[in-house]
Amino acid sequence: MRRRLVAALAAGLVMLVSFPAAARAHPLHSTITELTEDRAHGVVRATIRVFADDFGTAVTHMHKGTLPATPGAAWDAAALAYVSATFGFADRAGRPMAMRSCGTKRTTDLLWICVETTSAEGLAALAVRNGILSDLFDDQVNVVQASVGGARKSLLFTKGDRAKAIAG
Amino acid sequence: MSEFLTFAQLGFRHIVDIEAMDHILFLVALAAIYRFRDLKKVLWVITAFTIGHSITLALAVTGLLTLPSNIIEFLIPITIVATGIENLIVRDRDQAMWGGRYRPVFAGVFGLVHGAGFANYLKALFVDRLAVPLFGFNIGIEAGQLVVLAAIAIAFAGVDYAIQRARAPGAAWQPLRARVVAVSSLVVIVGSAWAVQRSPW
Repeated sequence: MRRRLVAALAAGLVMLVSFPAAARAHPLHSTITELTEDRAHGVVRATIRVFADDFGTAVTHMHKGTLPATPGAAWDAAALAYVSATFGFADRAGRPMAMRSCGTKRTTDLLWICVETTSAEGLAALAVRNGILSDLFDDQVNVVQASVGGARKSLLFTKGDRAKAIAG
Repeated sequence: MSEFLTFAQLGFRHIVDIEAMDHILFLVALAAIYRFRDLKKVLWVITAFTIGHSITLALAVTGLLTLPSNIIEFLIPITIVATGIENLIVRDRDQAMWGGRYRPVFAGVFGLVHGAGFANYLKALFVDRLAVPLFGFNIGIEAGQLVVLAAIAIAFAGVDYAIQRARAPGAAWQPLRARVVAVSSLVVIVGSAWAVQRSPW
């Protein structure tokens, strides 16, 4: 019995010491997206805040071997393709809506990625999906926030989640 | 879902994740010396830890305190090692300094370090509307810690049972002390290895 106890302790020790995640601090795998609407112009806009290094890894991973190392138009197109594959809006009937870029900026470690779609009915009529970085991290949690009709709405997406109605 | 609940879920998921092994191991080290009947003492220690990490989390996220992440990452396993060593050194807590009641202070101070670990990520993401997300995240962390502690208590019950089975009738050593030594030794070795891996020098 004592031998078994010592063996169990030794096995636990080896497992913990070799645990790869513990060699670095516990990262927060999360993005925060703010949705806004411009009813006058029939535009719904999403500003996605994402850690730049993780996003770069995901885009590179998606376009393995075909992505230029330096930033430029090709990299921007690849980034938009990644966002379109993992994030999107759908109308009441569940049809995906076309998106376009409305710019990207960088602050320290963070990328602010702006995408927009045309919707005369505004946020209340749309659904959103957000699987950004879920292909990279199993524990990825994406938060989407919006103000709809004066009320603050929050949606939480984890790996495998489908589109959710914003006004829900 | 409300903004508060969303961020509470984010905090909860962050702490019950297997990747949070460093924080979980610190909770293991803190809880290693207690039995079920010491619930009140455990609650004092965990409350102090909570207050500690809430303070640095709030100060860092609001920009009032800037902390170098490489130092914080290194200090987290140091808190684990220090707690494990304290468990090993102090055999009789009634005879220890302040009758052993310094442990909540200990947990509170180390909580400051762990809060700084969370803060470095949150600071980047929470750029506006701080109060509700921060409060929700913190509540989620606390709820997650309670779940982790419940799991630790169950695991310790299993360890105690194994020790009791291994103990020869009439043996001089106490089962609780055997658990403290076994768990704390493990914690010290693992924490030391992580400290070396995370060393900024």
